[in-house]
Amino acid sequence: MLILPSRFDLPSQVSLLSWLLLGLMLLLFPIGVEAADTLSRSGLRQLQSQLPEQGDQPGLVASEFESEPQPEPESAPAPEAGPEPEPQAKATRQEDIQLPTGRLGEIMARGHLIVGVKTDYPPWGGIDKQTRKVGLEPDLAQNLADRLGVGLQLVGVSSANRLGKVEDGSIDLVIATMGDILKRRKIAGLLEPNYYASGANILVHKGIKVHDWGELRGRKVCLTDGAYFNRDLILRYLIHPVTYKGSRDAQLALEAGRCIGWAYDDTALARLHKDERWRDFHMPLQSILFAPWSIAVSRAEQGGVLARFVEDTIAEWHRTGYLLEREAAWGIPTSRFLTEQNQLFSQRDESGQLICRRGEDSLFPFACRNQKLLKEAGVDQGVDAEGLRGTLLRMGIDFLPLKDPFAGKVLLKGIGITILLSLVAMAGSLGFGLLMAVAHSHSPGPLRWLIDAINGVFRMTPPILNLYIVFFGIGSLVAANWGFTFNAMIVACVVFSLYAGASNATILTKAIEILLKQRHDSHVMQVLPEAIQLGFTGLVANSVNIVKAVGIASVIAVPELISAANTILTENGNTLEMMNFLLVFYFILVALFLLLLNSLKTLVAKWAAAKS
Amino acid sequence: MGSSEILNELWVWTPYLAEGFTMNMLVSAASMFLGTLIGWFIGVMRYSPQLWLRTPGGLVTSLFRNIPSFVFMFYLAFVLPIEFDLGGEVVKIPAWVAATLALTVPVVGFASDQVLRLFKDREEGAGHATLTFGVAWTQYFLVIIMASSTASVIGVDEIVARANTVIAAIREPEFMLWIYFYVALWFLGLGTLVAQLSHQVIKRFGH
Repeated sequence: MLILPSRFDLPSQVSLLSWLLLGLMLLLFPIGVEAADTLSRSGLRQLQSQLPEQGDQPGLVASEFESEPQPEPESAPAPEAGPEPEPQAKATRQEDIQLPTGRLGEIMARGHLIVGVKTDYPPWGGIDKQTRKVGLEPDLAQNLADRLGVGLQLVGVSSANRLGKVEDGSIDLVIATMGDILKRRKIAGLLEPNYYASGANILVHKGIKVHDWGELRGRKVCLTDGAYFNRDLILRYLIHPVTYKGSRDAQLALEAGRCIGWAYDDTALARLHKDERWRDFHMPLQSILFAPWSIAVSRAEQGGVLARFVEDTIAEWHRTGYLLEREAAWGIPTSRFLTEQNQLFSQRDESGQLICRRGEDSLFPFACRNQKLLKEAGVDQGVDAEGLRGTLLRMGIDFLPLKDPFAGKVLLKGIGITILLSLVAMAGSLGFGLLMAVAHSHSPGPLRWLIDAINGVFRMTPPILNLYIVFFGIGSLVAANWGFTFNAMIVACVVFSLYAGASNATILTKAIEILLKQRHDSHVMQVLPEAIQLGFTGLVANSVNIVKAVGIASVIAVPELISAANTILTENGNTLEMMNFLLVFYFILVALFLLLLNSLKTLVAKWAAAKS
Repeated sequence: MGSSEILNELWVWTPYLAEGFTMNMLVSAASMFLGTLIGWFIGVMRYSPQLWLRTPGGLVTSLFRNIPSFVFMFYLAFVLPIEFDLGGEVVKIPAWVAATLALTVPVVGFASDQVLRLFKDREEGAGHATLTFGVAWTQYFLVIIMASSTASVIGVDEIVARANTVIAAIREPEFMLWIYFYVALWFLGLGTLVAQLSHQVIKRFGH
């Protein structure tokens, strides 16, 4: 039996020439290039931009409410207060607010709604020149009052007293930039769906060009102690944290250049950014790691008529794009959270019903709620479903990407890219291997050494390093000199093709040598099919190694499966679930590829027999 | 940046990078040791005449072969606790532990196969069975050292991670390529060394 060299065999003559070749490569690159500013581009951002923008659908909304009559147990005459509101509000009123008892009854009786808003957080909640309370949140309060057909009284609240005021009854509602966290849910009636979300963003000097959070790896980033996203930024993006006790210190450090940027709450940064002091700074990245905000009623009112009315209205705001419209009206950059919610709340199932509607338990489905928080609280979502998801559910597996359309899309794209990348690199590596092997057998002695050296270099340098070299190293030089940016996918295809291709070349070269020795009169091209047959096992092993290695492309922001899983788990907190999926999926994928490639064996044998 | 400046910078950072490379070697050595130990047992199982030992041995080997170490590294980095309580004392689990365990996985598959081959070669009286095993093992060590560079992704302070730190510290874009090439040279150098060594060993004992 012939034992061919595995991909790990290292021909010794490679050594010297590999060094020489590398030296040559070094000399080829020009010294003294301008600052490179074109680094990786986030595939995730591409994904987001693909999400369609949804406009107003007032007609749909009204009919939606009519199709879902909600019987009220108690009975009292419907209040007829104020002028006739807009049509969709009327529908809401007739169905939901026929019988105002409790707090809603009080509001109707007194004739105005009292809402606590921020006065120090424009444009969400601020004060205009006439000292009126204005902003996005006062607008929402006004909208609620209009729907009820009552007047509105706004009361300024602070972060410290907002929950106290709603609990002691001095205000009906809190709409005051309040994050939806477990601790608060225990002391007040936080309502779902969430109407807004802040996230983490970063303020950097305009001279620093970043396009993706991944580019912050290893760089000094100022943080403010206690921010919920600090841990994720450090763990996920491997930033070099420089943590300050307060935002004042972090700001000073940023100005003094002690860090390249200050990562902080995006709504706070957006406000700060307007200030003259920060005109040399910008926010080039998309917000990440969202923290949803909640409107709150008193704890006693949770689940009551007022809560229900506000919740249904929030769902409608999302569906009609009202929140997006208000956000734009106040000059706030469009937030991804609202765009996503807008799409989610206007999605319909096969029967044409909205996905985000109250179920029999009168709760919104899990996908339309604050999933991360529910997970933390250990709330289980008992949803029935058909198809693959139903089957898995009955097996006790509730896989988030199957119910969350966004996570599902990201994951599917990741799987697609992983498979595509694997296939292209397999073809590329076979092509490169054949080319090098044929060239080797045709070449005179010195050229053979060069070919061996090239193979040696690609085989003996880690692919992760080669990705960095081509994408960041060469990529930034090319971008600076010719203004041309490398595509991460193509770079990954090339690097993996060369890495596995060099090993293929070694196998094929040996096989051709052996076959030519056996048959002196044969030509290289004649023995090629047999050479492939001879080295088949090794070629398959190299191809499968590509499937195992393509995940490394995540370091240059290729949105393949590992990146996708990472994105989903940071936003939903379902770490174990995603990681288990990743492991099982990869195991099956590798096994499948092995099976498929090995099934080609008979085909290759036939081909070889026909040729010889 | 002139070439002398670049050479000077590379020289200045050499000890720092060398320290990182030690981490690559340590993680790889630990993986090889652990993986060979486990793989040996599985190989022995597969060599056994008993079917009930052979079958699970084969299954476990293919299981280890089919799990990509890079994916498993991610898995462990997320799933292993960052710290745990040991009798009132908080013990931190460093990232290199996850990297070592992940890299052990392919070594187990490799060692199991090689051990089986070693036993069969000996049984058939093939020459230099132990030598073949030794050379294959050494070359696989090299493969694992190369794979250990992926540990930078989960925050292990090895040579590629350190190269990125240096790049961030110097902030000279044209220096980036040089430092990456320099690190590539380290891997190439080690590869050359190991290739030469195996070559010499085969030359001396193989004939």
